[in-house]
Amino acid sequence: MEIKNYHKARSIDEAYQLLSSNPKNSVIGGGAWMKKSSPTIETLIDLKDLKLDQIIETESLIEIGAMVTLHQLETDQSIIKLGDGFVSQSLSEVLGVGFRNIATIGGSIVGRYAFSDIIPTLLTLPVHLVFYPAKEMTLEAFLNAKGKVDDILTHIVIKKIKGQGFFKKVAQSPLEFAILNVAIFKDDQAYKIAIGSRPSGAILAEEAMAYLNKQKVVNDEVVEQTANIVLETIKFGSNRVASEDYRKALAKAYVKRGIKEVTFK
Amino acid sequence: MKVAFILNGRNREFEVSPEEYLLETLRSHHITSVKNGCNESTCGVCTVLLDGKPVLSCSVLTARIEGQEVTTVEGIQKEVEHISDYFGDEGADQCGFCNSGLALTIHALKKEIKDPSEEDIKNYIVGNLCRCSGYQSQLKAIKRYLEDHK
Amino acid sequence: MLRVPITTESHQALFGGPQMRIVKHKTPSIDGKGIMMGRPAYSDDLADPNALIIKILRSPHAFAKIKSIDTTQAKELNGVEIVLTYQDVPKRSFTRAGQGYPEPSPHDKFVLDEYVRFVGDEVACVAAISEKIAVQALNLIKVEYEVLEPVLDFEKAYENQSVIHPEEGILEMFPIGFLPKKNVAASYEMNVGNVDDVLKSCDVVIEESFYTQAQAHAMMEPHTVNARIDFQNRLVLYTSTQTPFHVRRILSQTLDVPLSRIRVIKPRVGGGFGGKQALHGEMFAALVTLKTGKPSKINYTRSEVFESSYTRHPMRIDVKLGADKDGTLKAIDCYILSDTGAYGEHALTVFMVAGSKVLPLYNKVDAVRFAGQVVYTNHVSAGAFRGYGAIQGNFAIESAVDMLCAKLDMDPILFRQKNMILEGETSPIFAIMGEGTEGTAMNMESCKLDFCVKRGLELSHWKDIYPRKEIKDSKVKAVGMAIAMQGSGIPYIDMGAATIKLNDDGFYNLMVGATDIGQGSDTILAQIAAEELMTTVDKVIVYSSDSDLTPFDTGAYASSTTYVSGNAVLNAAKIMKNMLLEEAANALKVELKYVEFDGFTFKAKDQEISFRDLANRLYYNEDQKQLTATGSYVGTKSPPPFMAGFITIELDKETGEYDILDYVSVVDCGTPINPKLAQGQVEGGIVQGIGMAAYEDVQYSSKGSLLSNGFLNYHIPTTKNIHKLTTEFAESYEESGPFGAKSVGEIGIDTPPAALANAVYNATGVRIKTLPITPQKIYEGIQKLKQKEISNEAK
Repeated sequence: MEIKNYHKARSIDEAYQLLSSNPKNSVIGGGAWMKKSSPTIETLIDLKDLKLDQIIETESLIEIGAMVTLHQLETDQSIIKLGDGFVSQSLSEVLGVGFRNIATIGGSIVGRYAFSDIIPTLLTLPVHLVFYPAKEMTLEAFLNAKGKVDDILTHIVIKKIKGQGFFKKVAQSPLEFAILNVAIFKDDQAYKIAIGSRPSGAILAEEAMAYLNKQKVVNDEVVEQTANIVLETIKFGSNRVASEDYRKALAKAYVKRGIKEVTFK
Repeated sequence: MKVAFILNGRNREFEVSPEEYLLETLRSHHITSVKNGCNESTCGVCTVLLDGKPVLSCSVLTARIEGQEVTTVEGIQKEVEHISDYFGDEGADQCGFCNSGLALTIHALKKEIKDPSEEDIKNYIVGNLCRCSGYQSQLKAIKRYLEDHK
Repeated sequence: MLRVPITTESHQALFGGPQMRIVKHKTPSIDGKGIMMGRPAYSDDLADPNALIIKILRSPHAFAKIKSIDTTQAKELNGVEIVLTYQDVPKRSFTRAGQGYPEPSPHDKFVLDEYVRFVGDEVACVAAISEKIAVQALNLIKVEYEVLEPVLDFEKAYENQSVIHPEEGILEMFPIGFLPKKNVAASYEMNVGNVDDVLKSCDVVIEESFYTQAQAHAMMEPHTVNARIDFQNRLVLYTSTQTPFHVRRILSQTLDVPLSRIRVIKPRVGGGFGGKQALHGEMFAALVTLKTGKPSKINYTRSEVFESSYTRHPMRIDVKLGADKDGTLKAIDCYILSDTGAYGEHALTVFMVAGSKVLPLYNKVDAVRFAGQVVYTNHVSAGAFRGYGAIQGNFAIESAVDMLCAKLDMDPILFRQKNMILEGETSPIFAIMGEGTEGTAMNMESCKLDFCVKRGLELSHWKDIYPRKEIKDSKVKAVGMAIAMQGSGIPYIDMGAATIKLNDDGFYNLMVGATDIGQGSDTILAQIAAEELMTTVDKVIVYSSDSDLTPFDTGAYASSTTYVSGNAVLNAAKIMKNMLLEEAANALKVELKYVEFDGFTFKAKDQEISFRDLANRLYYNEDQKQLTATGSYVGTKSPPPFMAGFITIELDKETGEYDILDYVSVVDCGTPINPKLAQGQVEGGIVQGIGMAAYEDVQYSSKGSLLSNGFLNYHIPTTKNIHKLTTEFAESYEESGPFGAKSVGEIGIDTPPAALANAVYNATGVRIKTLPITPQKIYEGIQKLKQKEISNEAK
């Protein structure tokens, strides 16, 4: 890895100008994973001094600065309250505190990591991302966007809603990437189901959700059918840690358990 | 480039390259308590406290910590001595390579969580890997230490 | 401080056994505090600050020949001090294995060779003034390879077209079955009785094959060595090793440097478990420093530790067990195919221990056959790893025993109690199988296996759960168990020695060759000395593992330290005590037979002199002399520690996932010198065994490169994986051991794989015969059973 220059930006605009001026320039979030890609960087731009490390709760929103660390986020009261703690839980299952005091929520999202534990839970909530200079999009749209986003992620905004959440990271060891992730959220309007680390990245199970949300009564048959639709419509794959069939079995089991848990709590 | 930060209570200034990590800066200046176990954010033996919070020093660029406070076991000797008494009593100190990083994590845990449950403790120290002890003796030592030092 | 009014001898006379004030009591390790508080102690903490940084260019191919190698550009890079290829190093084959000389491992390694035999094998060595420059230099070395067809399946290695060691100059030190042209590193066969005939006469026979995977040691401190030339023009190495004396000898023989010009020091080591029972980096540091005159060092990266040090030997174990309907085990037939990877370190010995430290558990059989082959492949070299074959053999035999019990419809506890070895008994295997050579006959003077099983049943609440209890939803609780044995050093081969020096003021230096790698040998050896000398641990200052300053010891392996090194310390202490009594008699001007010593004062008739005064007198005042005593010990047998391991799991039948709720270990290691440290050895071993049973898997790509080369994709147990460990020691006393002790370093690791496999069977009816036991395998097994049920019903 090589970094020729390090620069602490004095304003977000300065950071943006610097980033745009050279394709070899890069913004650093937490930097926790930087060694993995071993990049050659002309100027590393640090957003540390731009007060993007705040969590601001208003009446209807939670505004999270992109430089908020994962540990900061998981221990914040407003996040703990969301969905009965399922966002907090998904954050706390990422490696250890020594890592989570460095890794930032911005870096975790911009990376669009397929194995991410945080993205599935956020995908089930009304979350939109704020970029500088001029973009705003839902988390889902960002995940679907092709290629690099040139703007700088500054805030993650969650609309506060009351509901029950469920999160399951399937892994034998806490320091392992998930074999599969399942996140479910239910408010008085609808269910949202997200499956991640399939091994591909997190995705909403639209057809399954559509079916479930049409049902008047959620009984065992409905739950079973919802899970079946997930298996029929979501793509699962094999890699060296798990086979496609096994991931399907896990998805079925945990979608069913998750729906029951958020419904009957 | 020059970076100035507070190391174990003293103002220090170091000449570093932009891609230099805190682990390398500390070890090359004879802070030998901070260990290199993997250098890729996965094992926890390089843990130091940054503004009192446990961080993996192999994953923090020194250039970024201007003005901040770094604490290693050299900076909190009395507290670490107390922790070591409990580890010694439980036979939890074997090869010792993970112990300094773990001691700092325990010190931070004590400050961050009041009355931690066993699960709280495990969740907090899970990133400090140990291959020798089997973890049980460490946990016993930590529980007794926290109980006696409420 | 304890004041003991009577001597150990008189106490023995009164109570029939030595009273122990320090041994068999917990005491904090003598070094834990200093280390946690951050004192420089490990090899890299002590490196010369100007040391050249060594980096190794490693092969990207699993098997290739170097057609050409051009180091010109690398050498020209500013800051590069030296670049070495196979053309610059001595062409003398050696083994990296740290074992007694002549080694039972083939000499099949060159310092650098024109063949590379696994992805990560050494191609060239660079030393530069900084790591950055060294890495740049690596990238400037131009290598042209002739890529050869690698052997990546150990079941296809024998007589494969691809010969991994075609070169001249390799050899076996004595016959071990070394047939490199057939890709065989070693082979062996032994028979007791006629196994085929006995099997034919059995009521019930089972025949099964088991696969154990390679396992990585994953010790927290990566391999590290630093070298310098001192002011006496001698080569001095600080290295994180388990075998400093073997390192010295191997360097001398291979680099043709007189032994007297080399000093090897082992400082604190951050874990070894067998992974540092060999040379890793020492050759390069020594060569660079000898050739440049400058200090140098090499620190393995974590991926180098995974890719380029060692793994455990993966094995296929074919087992046949034959028994009568009443549950008498009559025959065991065991064939092993072992994969030693690119080089043959520990090939024969690990494979033999898979038999010699498992088969005697069932000593009453009419016939036993043990045979097999160790083959070369283009995998990472396999080497010593705690358990050393016993864990692989135990998985196979203890799983097979439960499978036999299922066929016999017999309770697996009753079966073991009927057939397992007991105190006072022996097995013909002890006399036949040693480590690479013939064995040593011995009776089990101390064997509390029966107690271990009984007590383990109580502690695990076995009777309430066996075989399983359905909990709610799809969850089920189940238990499984296994018994195990290991050894205490290698008889007639492993030698340990200790020197005790008296100081003024009445304290001692204890110099031992014995290698503390974190298991606490410095501490327990101090305890043994303090017990015999009737003093306290703080008055015995230990210094260990320096080839100049400490007497010889083979090193930390084969569970030899407590038993062999401990006996050496005991011998030295006895000699010292007698010397002190003589000096006291001299000082008091009485005959020796009247002198009594309680650790503090020498008394004779109506006179006395304090120990402190005597020591000062010997230094400064009268009859001045320096008292030192050296004791050595070589074992004439290897009394096994025993244990019974019981696992309780909670398993989810819908997904195959499971949690290990409790692991009960009841251990017979004779007298535990330090019960807390002994418990630490057992529990550390249990958790590594659980890692092998459940989570850890060394995996390769189709081209032979290691995919599991970091902690993110190689999963060692974390604190959250371990819920409860219950460990107890049996009351046991081994006469030949120091204060009744046997060794305890390895026994903990052996039982978890079979215990877990048996518990999973008890929970689900699924028998997993390939490690690790993953939820996916369990799930697939459950599905297969369901299919079978459905098709049976359809019939």
